[in-house]
Amino acid sequence: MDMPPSVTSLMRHKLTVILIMAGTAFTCAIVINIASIVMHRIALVDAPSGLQESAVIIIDSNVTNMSEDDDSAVRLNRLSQYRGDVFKLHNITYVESSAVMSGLPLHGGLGMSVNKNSNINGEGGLQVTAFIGGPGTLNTLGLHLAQGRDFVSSEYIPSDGIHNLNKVSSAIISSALSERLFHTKDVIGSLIYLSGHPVHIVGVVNNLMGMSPRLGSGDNDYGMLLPLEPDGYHVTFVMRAKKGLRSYAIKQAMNVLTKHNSIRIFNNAKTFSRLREEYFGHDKSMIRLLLFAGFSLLVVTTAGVAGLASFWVRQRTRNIGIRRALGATHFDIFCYFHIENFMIMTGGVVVGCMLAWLFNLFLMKVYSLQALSLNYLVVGALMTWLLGQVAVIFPAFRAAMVPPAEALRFRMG
Amino acid sequence: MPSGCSQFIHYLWLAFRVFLRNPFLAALIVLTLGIGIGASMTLVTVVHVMSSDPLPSRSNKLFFPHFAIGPSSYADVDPGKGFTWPDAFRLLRAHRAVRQAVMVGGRLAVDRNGGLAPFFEEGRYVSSEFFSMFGSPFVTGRGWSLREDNARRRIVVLNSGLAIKLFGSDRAAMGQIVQLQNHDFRVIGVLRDWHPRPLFYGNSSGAWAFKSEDGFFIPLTTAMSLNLPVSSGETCWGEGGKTSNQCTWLQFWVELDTQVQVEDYHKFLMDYWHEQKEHDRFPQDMPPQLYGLMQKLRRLDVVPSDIRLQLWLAIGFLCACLFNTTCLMLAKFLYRSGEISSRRSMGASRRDIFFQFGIEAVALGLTGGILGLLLTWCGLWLVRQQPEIYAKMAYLDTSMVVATFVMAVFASVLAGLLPAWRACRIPPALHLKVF
Repeated sequence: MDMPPSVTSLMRHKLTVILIMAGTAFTCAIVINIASIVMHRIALVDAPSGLQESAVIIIDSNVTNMSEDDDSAVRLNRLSQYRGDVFKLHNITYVESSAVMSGLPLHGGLGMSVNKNSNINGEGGLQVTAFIGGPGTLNTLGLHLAQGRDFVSSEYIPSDGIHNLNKVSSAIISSALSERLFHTKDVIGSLIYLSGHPVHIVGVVNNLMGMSPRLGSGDNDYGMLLPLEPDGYHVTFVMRAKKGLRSYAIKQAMNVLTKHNSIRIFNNAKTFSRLREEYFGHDKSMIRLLLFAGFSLLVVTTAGVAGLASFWVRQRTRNIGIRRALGATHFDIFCYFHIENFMIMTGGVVVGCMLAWLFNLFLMKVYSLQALSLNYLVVGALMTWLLGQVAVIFPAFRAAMVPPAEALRFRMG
Repeated sequence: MPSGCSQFIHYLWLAFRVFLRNPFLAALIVLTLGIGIGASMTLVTVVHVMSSDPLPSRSNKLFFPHFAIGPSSYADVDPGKGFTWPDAFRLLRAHRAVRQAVMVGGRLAVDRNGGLAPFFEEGRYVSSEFFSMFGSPFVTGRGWSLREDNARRRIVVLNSGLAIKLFGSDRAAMGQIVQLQNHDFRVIGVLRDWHPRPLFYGNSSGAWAFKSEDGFFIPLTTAMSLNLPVSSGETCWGEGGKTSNQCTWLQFWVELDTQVQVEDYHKFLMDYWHEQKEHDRFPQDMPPQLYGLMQKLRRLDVVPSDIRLQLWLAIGFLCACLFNTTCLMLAKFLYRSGEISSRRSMGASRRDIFFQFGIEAVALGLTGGILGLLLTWCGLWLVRQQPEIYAKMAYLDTSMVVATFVMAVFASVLAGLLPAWRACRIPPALHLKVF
């Protein structure tokens, strides 16, 4: 194919070329950033919680006659009530296992600072979420132990609100947290410090999501389980239902709990899957919005490029006629337009990738976005090239069909 | 000028005849413009709605004193949105503004005798001038007086939704007994479904301020005497508890009618600040501010970053559509270069050609604007189906409709400038050729 003439012909139609390049570059830049944002959001929304989400159900329990002077007798009374409730729930036919917790992933918990050394100020510590749960918590949630063991019954102590937090002796942490703290696999028995108080690690689970995972935050999987029995005003009963029987289990559990408890309010009776859907509802709709916007943008740009290319072909019918008269085949003309389009697209892609980088820097400064990785630039470039070629197929085809006789006709557009 | 007007109409008529001759390119341009405008106006409307004035009749009279009360290490944690109990009541009792009120949120178990299972409802503990200051409309009954505040009476004002849920209708709730956290309260008033959006007088910001709804209002003094739980979040730097100098948890608003009153009150706050500093309080060096309602929303309550991202997306989308419209308009105009050059050779000036195509661009813009409005309407419908906090508020209002058309015409004129200029540069035919 003769390169030099096609380049010179491009130079003669500067305006058209610049417009196509600009439109392509702009679309390329926006679509690349959209793709990056969407992928990061999908990673957030699909992150594993560590729980056996197909089976876990929850019911919140709230005491209504609260008072400031909550003495230990009242707390002990509540503790035994909760223990009794867990036992009753366990005996429901549809429930395999039950436990009582004070917060679980995506639904409350305690924000704490964890350190490798006994730094009393807790400065420079990692922000983690601590979940307090009575016996059977690990089993009920369906967490997978990668190393170590579950708590034994002698390790559990009443939580006394949150006052007994610094009497706890052991903890189970997520593997992400253990990697971050110790950078090694073998952490069982190691000490960590919760706000200055030392605690042994007895188990490591594969994943344990924190209470409020957010985009761009590295501590979404830094969960920790502590062997404290909840005795506060607001607790959550968690149950592992038998396969496919979650809704029956919820109904039965509500019946059991409300039958004997008229002074407590039970709400939020739902499956963990539903809880997760509600939590990430906004992120999911953002993903949908961004995908829709990106797709529309691609459609609009392709139409624009196709329209302009189509006109440009008509403008050069005489040139094409002359070429055909001089011996070029249909195929030659077809390829010629594709190659010409490819060169324009290359210009557009190069500028588009640079623009994408700039847009990303701007967005990173203004929002907590992640940096653009090279993958997105490559994929974006390829997609733009592809779309450019698709846009020019029909005009190139029409150009190829121009008969040589056109060279002899004078046309003014 | 009559001749200019008739020329304008002539060109408009010409433009539509041209569309009919080559509908494909015209349709493509209208589609591109419509999609660009529809998408961006949908997003702009959402942002517009999120920044709207919650109390348009009174917002210019309501002010928010802003003190940095806590120690310096708490500068990040407590952005000055809360007051301590002693400070709030000193300002309240000084009564230096036209009206002033203290408030804080609470989530209580609600029950009534017989039938209904108890449930949780969000509400607010307020002082007596709250209702008159914010102009809350009553269906029946009234708020309470300062005397009732001091007497810690167990009285409650219900919002319409809660009244209907408990007693079937607004008026049926008057005088009834409601149990809040197992204490009996008598209903002395019912509000006419009053939910300012955003809930500017609470402690939530961003999107949450659009979701919050208060179902009931009780005297703050009563709530404290009964030790009722507070849900607005407290920041404490000592062990003193809620009534001490070491916990900020209350919100304080004042009403000031004239500029003179605003300045006087600001001076009063400065004097109070200096006086407290002499008692070794207010260690931070930030003097008190007095924000107007909209100012406070803009500075302290952040519009969620996702909404702003959407706005930038809308702008980018519109720009991309503009580029493509320019491409298509260029194609469309230059398509008729034969017609242009023959018109030029018959005496039309460059300005005439430019004008003619400018009008064509405007015509395309108006048509695109109609399509864009339709698409915006559909887009907002889609937004309302989303599980978003602001979903319920996504509606078109008059200003947004006008803005859509203005934007459409502006965009099409902008897109058409370059093509029209290029078109008018086509030279007149030197001699007529055989077609």
